[in-house]
Amino acid sequence: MSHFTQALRLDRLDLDYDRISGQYFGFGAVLATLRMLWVIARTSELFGSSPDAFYQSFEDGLGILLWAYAVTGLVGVGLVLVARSRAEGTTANTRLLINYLGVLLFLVASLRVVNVVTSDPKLFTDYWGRQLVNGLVLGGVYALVALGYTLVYGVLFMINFAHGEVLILGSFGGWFAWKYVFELGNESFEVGAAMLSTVLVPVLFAVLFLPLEALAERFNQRGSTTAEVSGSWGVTLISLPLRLIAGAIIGFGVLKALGGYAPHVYWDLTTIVALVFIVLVGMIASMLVAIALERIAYRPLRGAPRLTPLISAIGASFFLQQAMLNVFGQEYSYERPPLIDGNIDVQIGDMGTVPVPKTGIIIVVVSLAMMVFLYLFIQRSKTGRAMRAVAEDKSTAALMGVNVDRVIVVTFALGALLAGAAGVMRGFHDRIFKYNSGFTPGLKAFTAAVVGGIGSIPGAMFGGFFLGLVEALGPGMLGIPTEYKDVIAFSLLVLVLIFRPTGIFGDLASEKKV
Amino acid sequence: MALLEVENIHTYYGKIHALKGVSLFVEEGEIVTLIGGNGAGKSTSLNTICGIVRAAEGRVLLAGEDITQLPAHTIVERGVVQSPEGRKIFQRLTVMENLEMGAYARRDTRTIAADMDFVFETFPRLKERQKQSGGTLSGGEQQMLAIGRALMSRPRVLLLDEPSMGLAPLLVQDIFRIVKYLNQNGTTILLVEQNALMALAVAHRGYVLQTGNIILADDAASLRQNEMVRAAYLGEH
Repeated sequence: MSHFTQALRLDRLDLDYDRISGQYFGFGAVLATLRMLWVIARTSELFGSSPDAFYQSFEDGLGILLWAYAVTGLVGVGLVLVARSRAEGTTANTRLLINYLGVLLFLVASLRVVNVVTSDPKLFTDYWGRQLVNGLVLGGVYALVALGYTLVYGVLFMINFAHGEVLILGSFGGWFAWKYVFELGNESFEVGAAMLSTVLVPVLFAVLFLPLEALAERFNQRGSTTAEVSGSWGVTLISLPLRLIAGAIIGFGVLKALGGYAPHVYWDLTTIVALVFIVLVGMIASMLVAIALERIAYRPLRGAPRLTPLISAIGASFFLQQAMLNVFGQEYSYERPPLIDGNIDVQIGDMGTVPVPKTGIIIVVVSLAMMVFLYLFIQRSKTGRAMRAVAEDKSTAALMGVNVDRVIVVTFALGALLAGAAGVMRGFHDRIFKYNSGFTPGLKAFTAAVVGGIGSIPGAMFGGFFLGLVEALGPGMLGIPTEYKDVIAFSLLVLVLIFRPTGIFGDLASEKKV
Repeated sequence: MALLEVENIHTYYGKIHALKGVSLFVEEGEIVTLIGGNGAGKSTSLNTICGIVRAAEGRVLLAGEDITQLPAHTIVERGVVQSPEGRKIFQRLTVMENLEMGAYARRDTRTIAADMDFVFETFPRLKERQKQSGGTLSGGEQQMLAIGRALMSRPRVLLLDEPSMGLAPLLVQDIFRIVKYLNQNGTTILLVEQNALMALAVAHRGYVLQTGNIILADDAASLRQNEMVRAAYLGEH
């Protein structure tokens, strides 16, 4: 097997860095030569005509990247030659060198991007600024979905290729909830939302009035039978209906008061309640599918060779797509309630305004908030700790009394909750979706997870936003049609797999575990 | 009735017959040691008791209750806890988190803090390093952490698999002193060791395991005097 194909296999990460660095630098040297020839040919007007706009933007954008790559390649070849002539161990040094050069390249490219984007105010407000917003919004969705890949990989070392379908099932779940609210209000979302709120808000208040400390206590004491605990539970049981009724009445009162004295707040609030309800339905739909998927398609294959669950995942992906096509049919579309419809114009310095879609703001804010919650959950909670323990060593975790199967289900459920939220928010943002709309974003999010370093949570977050931005800005930077954005994204995947298979945030631990 | 009773267990790895009818018991408050050469089936015995490996035949009883078919994590909840061979601490979790993992199966959350204090009292070195990740500890510290972690689960029976493995002689003595100390504080211990001399010095009784069979069972003092044990496991001729 050539080392190129080896490099493309995720489960074989022990690469021959010397050969690969040689390849990188060698390729750079070839590129530098070609580049010089190209410039000579251009300047000597070999092709007769003056360069058109396409080549001009190619010059502006890719040009500097190629130069940086070519120069690092040439320097690298020189360094490797010097090191080899001294016949010393080059591996560690060249590895370090690649990393430094990679960072250098990234910085040069970023500076260039900032330069290109901000050079012309008109172009910025009309094109680059909008693309930047698009990139961030896309990045938020990718990051949420990528977290699902990375979480599952972290504990099971498998790629859940059906995760894109889990995403779109969230869109479907949310859509049905949206439709329900819409029809509840006789073809008016806002009326439906108000009606829904008259039920949900009192319920919410009732829950808030529940003796939560006592419940938590009870939960922690499960299995123990001390008189003290059952005593406090007894008191709780008596006060429970009273608390519930009081909570419901207060909730109802607050809602009515708002409706009477502050109708604007009332309508906005009820819309938000309904939207949260819709997102929750989408999240739960995704979660249930992911749990079923784990139970049916992955758990029976737990002890099988690593390729087997992978194939099962691809099969599950196709199964879910075809099932959705047959059950739901072709195309669906969300309608945005006025509260989240339209744009907010953001003033950028003295360059003018950039329109930012409200749904886009929601996606970025909610995805960031969810990532913070996830991070805290993994780091601070008991279940999060158990997840990390299971990721490191399943049988020892079992010796600690961890139910490994349950932790794996929780992992799938967490990833699916994030994907479900992303699915609903994306539905409101793009409006239209269908049975196979999850496939490409799924692959993209997988790419994002690999770029960030699969198994790493900060990596998935970073990779998501990074890929979103590359996709939105890349075609413009390179001066190629937007249709090529997928090509750019997947080229990035291949490049990362070849040159830095552990990803940006990946560490040696992921190699050791394999 | 003994606290832990193993009745005639047979365990297979594929076609290999690893345990050929092992029977032993551990009374409350005892240290019982299981000695034997490489591949005798010592770790397999512990893993079968813990439910990591399934017995094909025979029963494991905890205080008279059959736990043979329970899943591993439920057996831990019942109070049979193993500190596995090779320490197996979680390298990427901090010392504190490792100890908290030990207490994972416990429901009585209020007494965990007190046990944490007990572990830190027993192993002051761990207290100093509580924020460090497990992978940065030295071998001896990792062994202390492994034992501390097992203690955090408040075991009724603590199964120790080769606690002295790979440690410098001075540290080995430390570890055995701690084992004895824990026992005096009320922990029942089943100790698996290759270092038979040390094991028999701290244990009340012992079993000698050879290729999946118990070939000798006696109190520790008599085993130390036994000609066969001396020749085979204590390095005397």
